[in-house]
Amino acid sequence: MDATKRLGGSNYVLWGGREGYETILNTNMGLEIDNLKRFLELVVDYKHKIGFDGQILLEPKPHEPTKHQYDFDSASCLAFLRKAGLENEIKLNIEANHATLSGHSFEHEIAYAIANNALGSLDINRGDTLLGWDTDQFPNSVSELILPFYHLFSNGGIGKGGLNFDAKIRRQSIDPEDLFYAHIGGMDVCAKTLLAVEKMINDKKLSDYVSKRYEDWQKDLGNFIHTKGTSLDSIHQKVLNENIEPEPRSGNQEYLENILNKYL
Amino acid sequence: MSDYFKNINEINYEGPDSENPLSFKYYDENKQVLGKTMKEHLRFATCYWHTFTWPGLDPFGGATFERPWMSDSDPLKMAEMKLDEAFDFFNKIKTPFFCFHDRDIAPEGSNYKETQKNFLHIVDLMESKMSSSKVKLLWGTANAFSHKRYMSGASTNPDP
Repeated sequence: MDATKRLGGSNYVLWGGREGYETILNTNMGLEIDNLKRFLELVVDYKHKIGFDGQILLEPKPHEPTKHQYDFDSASCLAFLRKAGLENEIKLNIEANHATLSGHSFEHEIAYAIANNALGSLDINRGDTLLGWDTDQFPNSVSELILPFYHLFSNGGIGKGGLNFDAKIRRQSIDPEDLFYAHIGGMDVCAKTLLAVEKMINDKKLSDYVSKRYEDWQKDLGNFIHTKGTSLDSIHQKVLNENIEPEPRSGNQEYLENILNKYL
Repeated sequence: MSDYFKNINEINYEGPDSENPLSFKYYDENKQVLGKTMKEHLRFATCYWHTFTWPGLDPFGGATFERPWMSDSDPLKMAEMKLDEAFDFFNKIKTPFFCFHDRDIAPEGSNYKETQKNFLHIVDLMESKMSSSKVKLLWGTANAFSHKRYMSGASTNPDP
């Protein structure tokens, strides 16, 4: 962290590749998690001691190398950070291929972090759906990036973080030019996706749809449920008194998927 | 001296119709999108570990890349060469940032004290390289998983 501060770094990342365990037979999980908490407290204390003004970021990954990793996904990390009282000190560095290994999409992990004010930075890469490990390939598909970028840029962008190519060329790509082709491809596909997302955001078709879908939360029953002092039994009584029976409404997923395809 | 990428020039935006594989087709760093330039929005970083440190090995085979800074000679000299080549790459690809683990940039010594000395030597050189380059550090991190002392974890190790 001293070196990162000295070189003017914007963030300091903690990825706990071996912060987990292989078998419960030899593991005291409670002590390990307490020690992880102690470690993060020491890191945050040191950040303040040396006056490093960057963000401290945890990087979720479900497994590999260890079988059970304590930083499994965004939700696990946030639960842990809240228990440790560090949710205002540490944010998340979310990697696309780690998201997919945890059984989530990249856009889910990003949207979850945004909803919890915990998005710090992104490792931009891709996995291979036919392989079960972290292949760390360069991104090359607008259709894979469009929803992650839509959520990112609809919510103010990446801030002090960035898009880090935690990505490697294949081991048969041995020419010096291959390193350039990989980065050019990754930068171009991100730029192309950003242009598509600009249209999506400006058209407001998706955001208007979602706003309308939830608009009743601004009306009578929604406000009543949100009001402090409202209880389960008072909601029950209101339902009985007013004979409330919501009419099912379509989620229109296929209609929305067709709209999304127009931007690809 | 950095000459590994000597046959490659700075990469520039040439537009989607360009047939030049060493040009950007969509990334036009100064183009305004949603109120900022592409460069400001995307804040790209090149990572040190996969791009300059990983030699191409996998669980079934060894190094395939054989970069000049991966030879068996003096590891600190190799780290210096790697630094030169990395900055040549950053300046040509024009990602505005880079990222590294401590062990990516400098070799392990015969003990921890020597490892730390190697690291600080390269950090000194890196600081000087950064003063004459536009590239900035997006993030640093510590490799607390490769050395055998971390076999059972770093902060969650059964042995403090």
